[in-house]
Amino acid sequence: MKTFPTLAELSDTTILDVSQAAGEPAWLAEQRMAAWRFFAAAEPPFWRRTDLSKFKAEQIAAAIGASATILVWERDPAGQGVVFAPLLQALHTHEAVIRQHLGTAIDSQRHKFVALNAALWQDGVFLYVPQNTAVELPLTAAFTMPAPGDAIVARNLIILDHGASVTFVEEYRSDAGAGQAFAAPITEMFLGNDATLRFVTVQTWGEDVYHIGAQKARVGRGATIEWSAVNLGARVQHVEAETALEGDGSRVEWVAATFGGGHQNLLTAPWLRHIGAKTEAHMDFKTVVKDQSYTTFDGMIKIEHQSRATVSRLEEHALHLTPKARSDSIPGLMIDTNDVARAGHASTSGEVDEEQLFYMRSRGIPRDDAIHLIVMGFFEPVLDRIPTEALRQRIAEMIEAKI
Amino acid sequence: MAVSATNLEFDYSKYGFRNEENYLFKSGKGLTESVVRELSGMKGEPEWMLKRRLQALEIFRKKPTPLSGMWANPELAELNYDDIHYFVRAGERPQTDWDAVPQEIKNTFEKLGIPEAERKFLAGVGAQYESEVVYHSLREEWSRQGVIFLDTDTGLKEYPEIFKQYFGTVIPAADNKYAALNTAVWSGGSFVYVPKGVHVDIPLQAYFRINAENMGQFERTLIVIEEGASAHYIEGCTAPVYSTNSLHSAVVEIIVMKGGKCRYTTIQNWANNIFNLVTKRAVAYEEASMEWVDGNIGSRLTMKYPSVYLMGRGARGEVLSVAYAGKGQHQDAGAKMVHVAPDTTSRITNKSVSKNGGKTTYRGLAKVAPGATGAKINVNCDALILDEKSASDTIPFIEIEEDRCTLAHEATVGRIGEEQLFYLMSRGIGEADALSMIVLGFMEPFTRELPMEYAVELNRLIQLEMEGSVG
Repeated sequence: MKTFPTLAELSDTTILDVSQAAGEPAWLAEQRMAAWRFFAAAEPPFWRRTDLSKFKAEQIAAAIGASATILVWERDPAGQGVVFAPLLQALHTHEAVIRQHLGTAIDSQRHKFVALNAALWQDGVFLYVPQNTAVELPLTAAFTMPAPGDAIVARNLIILDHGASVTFVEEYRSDAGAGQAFAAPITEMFLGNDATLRFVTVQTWGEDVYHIGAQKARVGRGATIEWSAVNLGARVQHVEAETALEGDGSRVEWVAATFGGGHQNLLTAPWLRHIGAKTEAHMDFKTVVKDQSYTTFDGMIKIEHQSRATVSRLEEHALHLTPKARSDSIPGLMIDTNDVARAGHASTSGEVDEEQLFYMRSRGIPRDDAIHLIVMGFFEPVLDRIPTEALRQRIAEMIEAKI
Repeated sequence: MAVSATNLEFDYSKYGFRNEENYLFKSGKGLTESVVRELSGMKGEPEWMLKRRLQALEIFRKKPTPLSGMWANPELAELNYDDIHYFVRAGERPQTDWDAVPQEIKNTFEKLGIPEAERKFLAGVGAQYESEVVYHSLREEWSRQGVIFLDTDTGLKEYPEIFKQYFGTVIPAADNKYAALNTAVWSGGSFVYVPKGVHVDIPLQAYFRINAENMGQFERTLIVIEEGASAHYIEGCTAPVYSTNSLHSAVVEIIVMKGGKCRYTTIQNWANNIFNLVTKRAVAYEEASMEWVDGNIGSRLTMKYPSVYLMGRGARGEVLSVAYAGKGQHQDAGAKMVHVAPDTTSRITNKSVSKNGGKTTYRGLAKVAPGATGAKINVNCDALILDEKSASDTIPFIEIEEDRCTLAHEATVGRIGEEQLFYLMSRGIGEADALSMIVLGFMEPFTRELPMEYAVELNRLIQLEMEGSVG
């Protein structure tokens, strides 16, 4: 596999050369160079709850070319005018719409890793669904770490025109290897008026991977995003995810399942912004921890001054299976208006409910089986949203194996 | 619709009056080593305390002003440390006879109703004016049982052993920038010691007053509740309104030994240009109980997170707080509960109201350390935002490092329901009255924990703050 030089040796001229060799437009080369300059100068972010103490940035050599991106569908949607192709490839056919959207949801200068992605992305997918087009069957972009110790930098751009609807699945997986591997994906999503996106993001890397990513959806008037996240793999995960309910009447249903085991350090930082009038959000985040793992839910719901009649509800629950695991929850709220219809959150942490266990055991279910059932039941709202049977099965098996 | 508020005969101006400045000593502006040495020297302190002060001054200088981060606030940039008088002496020494207190200061506290309250329902009273306590008394029945209730300066002189044993053990100078500042220039505050098994069943009270402009008040309170003993301490704070900022930065350390009980009640009504940056922390040992009851009405910016470290099996902690933020105010209040021992329980209840451009923040920490099996934590935060100019943040940190525990956190944010208003108004209650009834009802879980006099006063203050909230 062809790669960039390691981050210690890489320079902007190499980035320019690679961009030009691939026949990329000049504006993109300029974006990459600007992001690289920011990356080179910026201080490493100080993340209190993400352990990067053993992370060796200088060793990273990011892949060139989109060989880790695998697109999967049951029925080719191209006949409906849908574009579903590697982003690098789509640049040749849909440059204008890509240029208009790329980097407009997530600021490339947010922090060092976002800039790194903007400078070096090669993998990733472009999905465009035309106006009033409904894609029935799910479209999947699967990213597989080519070999242990590799680094992939993926950029996904998802655009739904007015009234469009689609299910998009992004999946990250690899077998555990020996050395440090690295993934820095960014997914930007744009929902036109009355569009519906079912977004499923599944992280099941092997235990050698540092996964540092960002995701953001900008949701238009009357549009709905159903966002389901599963976080099972990686040694360290740091994902900043954001839904911006910009249009009046836009909605999000956001569910997540995180399971930390071994020495995993998994952080999810969901941001939810209510901007339009009568926007509505329901969030349900579930976390299970065991062994010496450490998970963090670092969330924020911001109800902006210009919003009106907002409804926002967050549920966030952590289940501890063994004594030494740690879970942190920071369910923040920032409310800049009094025009709120309903806003609140609830958070609980604790062990498996002894009463539930007792109930099951009194019906002849052994304790271990009962715990399995309780954990699977705990994650069920998320599992129910996984659109393909095969993926749901695979996730369920991984969860079972972790328990 | 213009409706004016009624039932507002309460005389707010009694807090806002100011006296002529006529001081025995007033340090120059700014904080230097010589200010600290001079202060310590005037108090005739032992060498170890001066050393502590100077070490703390170093820490204060090294620590940056917390403008961004977890427990920070950008508004702190408005503070100019060089523009503050760090020590102002108003009277000779604490008096135990009310008549001996200088007339002007006496007038101040007479207006505030302190001696009157003492006669009515208090076990002891302390009154601090600027940097030092000017009056202190304790009823004989308690002093006979070995209860100590003194100003902190006298406490250090008369009970050096107790003092040295506990001072700075709950809140070390390095805890945060303002704890370091307080340790460097502390003056006044209360020293309470309740011996084993003694129950002081009526409240002890301290009243803090800032009168001078650009004044920094740094009282230091140390409360030790011995095994099986109990006490209730109440503090109130006011200051007149000046055009420039003053700083109030207190440190309160409380130790509650096995089976002891302590309740600490604060009604903070500083003027709207006081920065109120306070560190309050208690440690509770086996089966002990610590309750913070905390009301924040005044100040420009309050940052205060009363804490309980639950160190012994079965210890119990509670923080019950309300905050009211009006124009130009930011009430950044919260609580911290740190469960270290098994079977410990805690509860945090926070109610906040913001209005007229005010902002309230709840910031809290609920932590269960490894080994604190069977810990139970319950957190409830409710915020009411009365108009579109106002704002409210909720930032709870939850850190769980033990499986055998339960934590529940619940927060709601909302406006006053049109239905509630309509219901009250349809029964002939004016809109302003209806609004203030709803706000008082919202805060009722707090006010019902206050002694009657305080509850009445707090309700009046809030009604007054509500004036003109409909327009």
